[in-house]
Amino acid sequence: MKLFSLFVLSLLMVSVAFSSLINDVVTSYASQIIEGHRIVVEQSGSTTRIRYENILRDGYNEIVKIVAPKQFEWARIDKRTYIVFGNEMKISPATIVDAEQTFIKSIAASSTILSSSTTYFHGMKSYKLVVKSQGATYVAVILDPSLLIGYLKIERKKGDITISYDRINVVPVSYFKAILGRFKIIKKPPSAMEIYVWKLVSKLDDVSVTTITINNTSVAIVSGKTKFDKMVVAYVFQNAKSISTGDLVAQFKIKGFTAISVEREHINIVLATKMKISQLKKWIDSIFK
Amino acid sequence: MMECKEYREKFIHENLTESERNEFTEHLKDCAECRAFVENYNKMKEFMKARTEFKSSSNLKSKIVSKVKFRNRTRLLFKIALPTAAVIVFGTFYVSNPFSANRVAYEKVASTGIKMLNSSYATPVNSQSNLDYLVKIKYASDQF
Repeated sequence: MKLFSLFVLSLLMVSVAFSSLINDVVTSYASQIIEGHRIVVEQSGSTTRIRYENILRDGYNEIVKIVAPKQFEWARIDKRTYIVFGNEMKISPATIVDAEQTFIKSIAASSTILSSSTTYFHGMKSYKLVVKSQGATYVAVILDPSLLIGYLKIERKKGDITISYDRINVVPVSYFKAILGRFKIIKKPPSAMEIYVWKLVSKLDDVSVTTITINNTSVAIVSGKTKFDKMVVAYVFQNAKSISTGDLVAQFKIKGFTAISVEREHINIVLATKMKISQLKKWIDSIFK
Repeated sequence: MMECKEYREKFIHENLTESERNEFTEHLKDCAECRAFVENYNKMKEFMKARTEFKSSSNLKSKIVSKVKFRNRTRLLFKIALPTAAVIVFGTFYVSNPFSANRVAYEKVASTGIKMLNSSYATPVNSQSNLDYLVKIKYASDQF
């Protein structure tokens, strides 16, 4: 009986200690200034995507440079997402989610520790936490004593995300600000064209965007598959007298496709697909609601 | 006595003297060719006189002038006004909606999308767009 009591007591003490660790991780994260290199693996069904990223982070502000498979740089500054174009940062039409920050916010809100232990990560003493929070299970390896996240796996019904740092260093306080100071931050909001193309891109798989010019009007052609595996092509352009949406729709109809044109905020969108017109209209409503 | 040729030349130039005119009158009685010459000459002279001395009525004049003016206006219409109008009509149509004037161009533009719709792969070959970054955003963002 005494032994059992001691066991329960020790479990409680460990649990309290790791609960305290979670608070410490959350508090520490907000003040960490780091630079590192990480590998992000996203798995959903039979699809696996891998990214290699250089990251410079000051608390929740960060500049992320994807080095592979396709180079792309973005930043989060004061809760706002920016896209980096050379030396300029422009406001993104969409928020880019960093799973690491989602993890911190989730466990800060509420979490249940499923298991906790000590381990080694790249030879460094670490804590391994398995935490359940907001519909996902997080497996996190936290470096000791820096409390930096070395590894994170997020398990959800829709798929898993794994982030693994192969390099992470604490950098001087001024480092992030010095790098950020090199960029010109443009506060101009994204154009209606960018917003509507994004609305389509975000809802299509295997999506691509190509641009053509018709009578000096730039037309973005967005193509991809809906979640029902139906191909959709959308011609998106600024409302222009030089292009007749009716004639474009007619061309698709002649070839036996379903086609429709919609106008939102002076943006014309001509959509064509093999779906039935009712399905297409429903899909359009779900995107542009 | 003069030869026929001499009589005729002096006759048409009115250079016959009184005695020569009498001789020529006598000559005409015997010379059929000179008679025919004088008759033709006189007919021609009458005709020329009628042409040069003709005075048209004011009514005829105004009719002719209005007909000439009408013909000139019609010519102007065909030469300048009609082509100008055609250019204006075509130009206005082209400026306001040039693309609808060219169905072939629409067909070509639509064919890009039709190829994509018929393909099992969405990504076109060598796709380039200044909006490409929107696709990169999608894949840079962790899927939540």
